[in-house]
Amino acid sequence: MKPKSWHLNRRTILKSTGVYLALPWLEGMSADKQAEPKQRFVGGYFAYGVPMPKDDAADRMDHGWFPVGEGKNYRAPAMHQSIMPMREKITFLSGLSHPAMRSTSSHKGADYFLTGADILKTYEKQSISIDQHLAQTLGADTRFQSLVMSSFGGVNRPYRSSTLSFDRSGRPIPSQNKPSEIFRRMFGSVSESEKNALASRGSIIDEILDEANDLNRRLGVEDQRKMDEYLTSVREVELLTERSVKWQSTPKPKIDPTGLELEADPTTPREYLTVMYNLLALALQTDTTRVATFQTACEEAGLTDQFPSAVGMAYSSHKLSHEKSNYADVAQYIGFLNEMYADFIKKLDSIQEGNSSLLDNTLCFYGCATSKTHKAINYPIILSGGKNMGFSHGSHLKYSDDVPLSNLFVTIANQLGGPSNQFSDSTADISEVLG
Amino acid sequence: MLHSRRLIQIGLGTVALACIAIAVSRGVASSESRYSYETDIEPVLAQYCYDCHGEGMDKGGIVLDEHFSSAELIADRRLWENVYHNMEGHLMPPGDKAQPSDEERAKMVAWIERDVFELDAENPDPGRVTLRRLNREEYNNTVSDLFATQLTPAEGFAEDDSGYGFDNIGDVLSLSPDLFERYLKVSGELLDTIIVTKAPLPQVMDFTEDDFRGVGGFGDRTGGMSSTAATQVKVTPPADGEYEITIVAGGDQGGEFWPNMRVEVEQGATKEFTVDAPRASAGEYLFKTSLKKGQSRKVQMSFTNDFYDPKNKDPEKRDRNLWVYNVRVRGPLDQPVPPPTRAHQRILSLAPKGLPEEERSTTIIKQFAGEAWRRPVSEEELKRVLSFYQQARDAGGSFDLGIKRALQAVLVSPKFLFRGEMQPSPDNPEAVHEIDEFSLATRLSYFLWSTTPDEELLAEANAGTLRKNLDEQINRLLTHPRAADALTKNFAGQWLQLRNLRLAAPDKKTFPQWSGELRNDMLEETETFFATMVQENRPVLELLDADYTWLNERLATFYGVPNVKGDQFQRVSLNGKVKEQRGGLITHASILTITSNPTRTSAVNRGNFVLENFLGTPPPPPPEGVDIPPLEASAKKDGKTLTLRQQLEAHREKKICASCHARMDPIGFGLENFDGIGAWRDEENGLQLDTSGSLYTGESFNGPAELREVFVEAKTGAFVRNMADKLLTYSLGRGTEYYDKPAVREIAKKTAEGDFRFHAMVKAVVNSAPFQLRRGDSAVAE
Repeated sequence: MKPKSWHLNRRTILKSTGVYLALPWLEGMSADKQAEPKQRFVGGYFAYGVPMPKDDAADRMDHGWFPVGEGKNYRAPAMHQSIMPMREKITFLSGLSHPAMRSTSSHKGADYFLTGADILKTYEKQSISIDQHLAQTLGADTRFQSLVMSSFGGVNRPYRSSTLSFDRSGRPIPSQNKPSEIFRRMFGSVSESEKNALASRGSIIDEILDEANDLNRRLGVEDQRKMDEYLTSVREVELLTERSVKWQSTPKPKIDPTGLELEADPTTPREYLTVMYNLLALALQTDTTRVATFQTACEEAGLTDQFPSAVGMAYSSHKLSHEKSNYADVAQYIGFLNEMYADFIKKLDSIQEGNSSLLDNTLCFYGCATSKTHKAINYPIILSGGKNMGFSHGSHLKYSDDVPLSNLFVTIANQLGGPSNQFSDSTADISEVLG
Repeated sequence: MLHSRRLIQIGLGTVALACIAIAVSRGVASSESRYSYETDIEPVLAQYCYDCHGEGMDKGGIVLDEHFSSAELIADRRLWENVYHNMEGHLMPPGDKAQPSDEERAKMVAWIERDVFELDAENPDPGRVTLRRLNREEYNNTVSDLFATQLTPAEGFAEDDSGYGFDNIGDVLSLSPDLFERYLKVSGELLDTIIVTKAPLPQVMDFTEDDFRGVGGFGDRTGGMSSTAATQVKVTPPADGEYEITIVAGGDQGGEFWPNMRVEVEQGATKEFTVDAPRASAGEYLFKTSLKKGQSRKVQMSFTNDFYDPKNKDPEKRDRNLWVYNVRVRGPLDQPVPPPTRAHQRILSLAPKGLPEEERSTTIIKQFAGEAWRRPVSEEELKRVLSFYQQARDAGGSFDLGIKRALQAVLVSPKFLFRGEMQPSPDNPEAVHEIDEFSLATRLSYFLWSTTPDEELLAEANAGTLRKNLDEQINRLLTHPRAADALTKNFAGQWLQLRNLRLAAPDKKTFPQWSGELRNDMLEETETFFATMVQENRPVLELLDADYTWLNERLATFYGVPNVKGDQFQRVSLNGKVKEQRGGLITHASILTITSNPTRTSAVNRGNFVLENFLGTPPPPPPEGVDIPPLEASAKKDGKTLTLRQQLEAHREKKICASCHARMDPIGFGLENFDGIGAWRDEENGLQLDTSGSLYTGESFNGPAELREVFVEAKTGAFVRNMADKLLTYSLGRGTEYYDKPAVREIAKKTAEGDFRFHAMVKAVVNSAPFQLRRGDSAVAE
C-alpha cells in the first residue's frame, strides 16, 4: 500500500526549516491512526518585556516589538523578520493584560501569565492555568497529559515562578529543563526495575489510602484538613500511576537521538533553546502529549538571565530590559528569542499531518506578561496556527488596555476544550482571532 | 553529625495513649478580676486615648467608647487585641502625647488578659498544633539518622512554604502531588542505595571522534585513516573487572583485502580485526579484557595495511582506508552483589542474629517503624506493613527485597511524613491534655536538633521517664553541637533572615569590596556568633550588644579591625574605637547588607528590621494607593546634593506616612554610619552624616554605639519577649495567639531570672503550657 501523504517525510522537514539538524527518524508514525484531526495547545513565555521606542522615534521599526498599523496591513518591526515568512499563519495581539495584576511592579509574570489569577497580595487565589484547563480534555488519550518545560526547571519560588502551569488547586506543576531527561521520559525504554517500581507503587498507594482513612478517625478537624490535602495528593499520584501502568504496554515511539543536542544546557542558549523546541515539536508530532508549556527564562538571577550571551552580549537579560533609550542591544536579543521561536513555528508547519500541517492542528500562544519591563499592561503576544480549530491569522489586532487577556483564553478554551463561557476573570470572548 | 542508634526495644504494650486530662473547663476565670472596667480601665482610656479614639474621634478607625454596653465592648476581642499590642509595645499613645505610667499600662494588660481574653493563669489554654509535615531540612536529617548515613534526598523537593517567618509551620506546610511523587521516588531510591540486592549494572563509557587523539600527528578528533595511522582513547575504569570493548568501524576495500585494525590496550591485550563492514554501514568489533579500577589505559586503534593503487580497474578498490566511528567500553561485567552497606547492616542489626527468618523480619520491621514513626507501633499497624514484606516474598523476592518494600511503606506513610499527636478527644476544644511522652520527645528533638528523637529520648519516653528527667535531657541536647548547628541554621537563619544573604546582590560598582567570599564571611560571622551563644549558654542580650565577635582576616580588614590573620574565623574581643563601631547583631555586615538596597542603605528597611525582629512591634504595611516616591543614591534639591536622610525627611512631610516612618526611620538613621554592605563611613556623598535620632518611646541617641546602649538599657524587656515569642513559634510550629501572651511573658520572666542565658529561655519554652499541653480542635472553626 502506498503510504498516505502525511507519512513523515524527513527530507521535507530538513529542507523547509533551515535547521541544520538531522531530525531523528520517526518510526511511530504509522498510517492507520485515527483520522480525526488532533487538537493541541502550546503556551510559551519569554522574560522581562520588550523594547518600546516611541511611535515617532527614528528607531521604531528597527528596535520596537509591537507592529505599526492594525489589521491586515500592519508592518512588523525588524526583530520579527524571522517569523514573517509565516505571516498568514500568525497574529500579533496588543493591549491585552490580566486586570488583577496590572499594578504589579516586578518580575512575577510567569506566575500569572496563563492563570490570570489575582495574586497581587497573596498566593492563595492562584488558580488553574489555561494549558492545564485544556489538558483535562485534550490530555486524555496521550502518554502524558501535558508537558511542562522551562529553562530553569522545577517551580522555583512564588512570584519568581519557573513554571507556567498550575493545577486545579493553583499549585505549580514542576517544569522539566533537562533535554536528556525529557527525551528519556518520552522516548527512552522502560527498564524492568522501573516497571516493578510502578507495580509496587500501586500497592503502596492503596495501603496509604487505607491507613490515612484509619488515621483520620483519630484526628481533630484541623488535622483532618491537612490529611485531606495529603490524600488529595496521593489520589492524584494514584491517577498518574494508573495512567503510567496503562501506557506501559504501549511501546514508546522509536526516536534516534542523533543530532539532538540532548546534553545542551542554558550556558549555550542557542543550542539549548533549539533542542528544547525540537523536543517540544517531537512531543507533539509523536502524539506523546497534546498540551505543552515552555517558559524560556525565569525572571530570576541565574543561568537563564545570561541568555544574551547567545548574541555576544555580556549583560544579563534583566539589565538589558531596563534600558530606557538605546534599544539596539535589547532589540537584538529579543530578535534572537524571536528567531528561536520562529524556527519552532516553521518546523511545526513543515510537518505534514493529514491534509494540513502539524501547525494547523496546534494553537501556539506566545508572549510576556509585561510590555516594558515593570509595566504589566499591553502584553506582547503572538498567536500562531490552529487553523483546523477555527483560528485565522494575518493581522495585528489592537485592543484597548482594559481588555482582559482571559477573554482570549475563553475563546481558546471554547475552540479546543469544549464550550466555556468563563476563564479566570474573563468578561467576554475575543472572536476576532477566529475565521 | 550523626548520633548512634543502637537497638532499643519499643514495646507494643505501651501503645495506649498515655494522656491525662488536666483540666476540663476553660474560659471561665477561676477567680474574680482584680480590676473593673468602670473604675479602673475607662478612666485610663479617657485620659490617654479618647483624644483620638473617643468622644467622636475615630483615628485609624479605632473607637473605644461607642459600644452599647460595656459587655459588648468587652466582647470586641479584635479591638482589645489591638489595644493590648499597642499598650504592651508602648506604641500608643504616640510619643508626643501624655503617657500612662507603667503601672497603668500593666493594669490595662492584665485586665485585657483576664476579662477580655478570659485567660486563666491556673488553667492556661495551650492552643493546638496542626499536624506538621517534615520540611526539607527535617526530612534530610531524619532519614540520615534513621539510616545512620548522611543523606540529602530532599534536595530536589520544592521549597517549603513559610508562615510566621518560619518554614516549619503546620498550617502552611502543604503537600502537593509532586511532593508526594517525590516521597515515593526518593524513598525507593534511598532504599535501593542502602539495601543492594543486585549486582551493579555495567557502566558504559562512550567515546566519539571528539575524544580521539591521533598518534603521530594524524587522526586527531577523527577516526578516518587513509594511510598507516593510529588513534587513541583513554579509558578510566570505575572498578576492577572484566570489560567489553566495542569498536564501531567501517572500511574501504583496497585491492583484495579489507583494512586491518589492530587494537592495543596499553599494558594489556592486543587484538587484530579485519574490518570488512563497508564504511557506509559500519560494523561492531568487540573483545573482552580485564581492567583495574582507576588505572587509566589508552586503547589504540591502528590501521596497519594501507593500500593505494590508482590504476586498479575497479575504482571501488583503489584505496584501502579504515574508519573508526565510536568506541564503547562496558563493564565491569562480572560484578558480585556488594556486601551490605553500613546503613543496611544497621537495619539488619535491629533484630538479634540467628532468629528464624519470619521472626527476624517482623522484629526488624517493627523496630524500624517504631523509630520512623517516633512511637510504638500497634499490632494492627505492624500487620499492614508486614504485608509488603510478604507480598515481595510471595512474588519470589529475597528477604532483603521484602524488607526494602516494607521499609518504603513506612517511609511514605503519613505517620512518618507528618508529626501527628494523637489525643483522646481530638474535637473537644475544652479538653486539655498533657501530650504523651513520645510526642514530647518528638517536639523536643525537632525543636533543638531538627531531627527525629534519638535512642535515648525514645527510651525515656518508652519508660515514661522523660518528663521526670526533662531538664537533664534538655541539657544533653543543648550541649551537643547538633543543637548549635540546627538552631543557628534553622531558627536564627530564618528569624534574622540570614538566608536572604544568599540572594543579596549589592552593586559591584558602588561597592567594589563586595565579593562572594565576603558574603560567606559575613554569614559565617553571624552564624558563629549565634552558635556560640547556644553552645556556651551565653546571655541572649549579647545579640543586642557584645564585646566580642568572630572574624577572619578578610572580614576584619573590611571592618578595620587590626591583627586578625588568616582565613580561619577566630574569636575577637572588641574594644576601644572598634567597640564603638561594632558589637551585637545590628552591627554585623550580614544584617546591614540584607537590609540595604543594591546601591544604597535603607534606613526604612533597617528600622523595620529592628522593630519587627528585635522589638516585636512591626509597623503596618504602607497604606494602599499611596504613591511612594523613589529614593536615589544621589539626589539633588535646589542644586544641592542630599543625603538619604534628607530625602527621607522630605518624604515624611506626607502625613499618612509620617506616623510609621517616625518609628522606623530614626533607628535606620542611627545606623547610617554603615554603608550598603556594612562598611564603616563617616560621610555620605561628601556630606557629614547626621546619625542622631530618638526612638518612638522617646530615648534619644547619636550614632550606633548610643543606639545599642539605648536598646540594652530601655528595650531589654521588649527584645526578650519578642525573642521568646519567635522561639516559641519555631518550637511549636504555629503562630502565637492572644492566649499565648501569658506563656510568652512567663518565658521572658524565667529568662531574666536565669541571667538571660539562652538555655534558660529554651527550658522555659519547653516547660511552657503550649509546649507541654494541647487541647482539642474547635469543631467549628472560629
